[in-house]
Amino acid sequence: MTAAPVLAIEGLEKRFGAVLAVAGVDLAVAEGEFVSLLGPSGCGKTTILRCIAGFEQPDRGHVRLAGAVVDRLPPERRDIGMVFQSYALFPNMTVAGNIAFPMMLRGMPPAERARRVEALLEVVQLPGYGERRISELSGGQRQRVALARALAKEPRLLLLDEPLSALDAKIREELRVEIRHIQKELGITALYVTHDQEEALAISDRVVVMNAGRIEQVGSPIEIYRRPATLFVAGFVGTMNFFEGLVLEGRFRWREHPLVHHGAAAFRDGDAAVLCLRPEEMRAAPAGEDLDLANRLEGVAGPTTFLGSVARLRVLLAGDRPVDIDMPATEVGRFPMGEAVTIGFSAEAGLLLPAGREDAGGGAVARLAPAHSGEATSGRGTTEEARREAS
Amino acid sequence: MHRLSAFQVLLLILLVAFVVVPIAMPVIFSFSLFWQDILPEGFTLRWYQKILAKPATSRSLGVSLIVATSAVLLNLLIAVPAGYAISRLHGRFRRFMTTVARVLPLVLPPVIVGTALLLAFSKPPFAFSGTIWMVIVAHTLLGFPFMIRNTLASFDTIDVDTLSEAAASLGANLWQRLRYVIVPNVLPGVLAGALLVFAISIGEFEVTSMVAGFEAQTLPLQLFQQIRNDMRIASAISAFLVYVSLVCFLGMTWLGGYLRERRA
Repeated sequence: MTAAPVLAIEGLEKRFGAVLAVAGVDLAVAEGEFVSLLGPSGCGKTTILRCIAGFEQPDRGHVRLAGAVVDRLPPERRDIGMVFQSYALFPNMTVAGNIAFPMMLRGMPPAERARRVEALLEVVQLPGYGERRISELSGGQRQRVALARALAKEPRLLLLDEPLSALDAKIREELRVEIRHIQKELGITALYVTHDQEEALAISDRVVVMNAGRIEQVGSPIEIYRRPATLFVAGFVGTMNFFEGLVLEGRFRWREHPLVHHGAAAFRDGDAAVLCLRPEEMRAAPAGEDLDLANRLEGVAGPTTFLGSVARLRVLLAGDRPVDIDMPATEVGRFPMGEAVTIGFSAEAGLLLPAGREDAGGGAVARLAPAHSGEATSGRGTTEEARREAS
Repeated sequence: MHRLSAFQVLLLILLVAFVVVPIAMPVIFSFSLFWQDILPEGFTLRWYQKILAKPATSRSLGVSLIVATSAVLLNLLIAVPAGYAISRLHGRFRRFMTTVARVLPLVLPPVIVGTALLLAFSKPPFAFSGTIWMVIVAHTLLGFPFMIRNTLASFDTIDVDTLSEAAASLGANLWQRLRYVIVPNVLPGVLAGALLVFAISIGEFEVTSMVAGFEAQTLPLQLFQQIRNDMRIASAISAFLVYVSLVCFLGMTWLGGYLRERRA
């Protein structure tokens, strides 16, 4: 890269009392890039954002904006725009007043301000809303106004702190598509904090998965989903089935079952490993029917969850080990609860990751059951969580 | 609206009578020439003119206005920064500070407040006893719990931390954050508190009678004197105090409605 990245974080550390919120983080964001910080509550992602904005002082390390260290600059003198989860619109001003606020501070003439406010309202698809009061707007509209206000400053870097967490699922999806569209259209550099893995995957060029104040993995959404680098990432992003076992004689063994996996060759004899399989990488068939796959396990059908385009079948293997398997929604009904089921997967399916590293912050990490990162994504209580993380 | 029973109507009439009649009496009396029988007779503004004409009463009118205005200004100076500071606290300490500021001064009996003031301000360098300064201090103190109550309530309606941060991220320095964002949002509540302090100060008798002396006779103290001298002037004074209270009351009601509308 020739020019300095828009944002560079170097060895950032931040401690709140006894808690090390950010434990040495390095990250660079290039011009025009959309990067998400993804992680559970309390993983330090919001603290990083607040250090970049200047609301928190890092204990160690530096924040650089366009190459220049900004550690000593107050927030108002940093070239950033910020969108908050709680919108943070000024209730004493109209929509237009809010958007014009940063321009007014810069002494832009009123006529030009009014013109730019109209243009920005067009961008966020609220034309003609200028004279409305904030109290007259819906949550989604408020966040659009907040976005327009943050853009009005024409910042080098746009920071978004869980901007969609307070909104309904439908609006959330609409608005995230729109945020992405606006970001690309205007060529904005954006850093986006979320605990919603689906949102992070949908919106970003790159996703930074964080846990316990550290970066677990940085990669494109596809890399993060397809090739998680750690068990934490594997469990946090999407749904994953874990099989904990050992590699013996070039084969992976889960309990008494020898399983064929192409990744086993990379392990030494006797290494503990975890086979990670996505629900869509496995297949199920009623017992007796032939499954032409390298690995087969016997189980009993549990409940089927209808998810729209697919259905997710829970199969209980020996010892009541649940495994989730996706199938086309048309196959719902093929597996009555309690019937014997065979599940299978190929030698190429999934990932074999080294086991062991008990994760400091996790608990979710070495869980035997399928990990549903989706549990963390419900909008409820997120304000409180974000606040706890910040304070 | 559902229909009221006769019994409910009767109760409402009694309630209104209970509140309005005692207030109306001096007002009616103050405009009448004679009131010997059941109904007053004749309309006159003579008693009001007398308030201005008599040196003792006109002087006390001035004292009352100066004291009330000063108590309001001092309370603004103290309560707004205090409210801002308390609103940025969190947890148990915040609740403790809120209670101390709002409730403690309210539960102290006025006689004790008066005694405390006399003890505190009788010797140099604060030998205020018997001067108008003493009355201003007393009224500021008496109005404070009401002022801080309204101020804290208006700080509670906004998220001061997040709004300040949003304003800062948009380029506003501390002065601009206060000037354009924080103060405009708490102003209606603060003004309601100011009106309440003014109303309390204008009508205060108990503590004032202990600390005022002859130099700083306020309107209520004059009223007390005039009840024994001239009941007509007394009625005009009390009617005037009623008007001030009503204006403050209307102002507070309007501000309350304005706030509700903005937050709807």
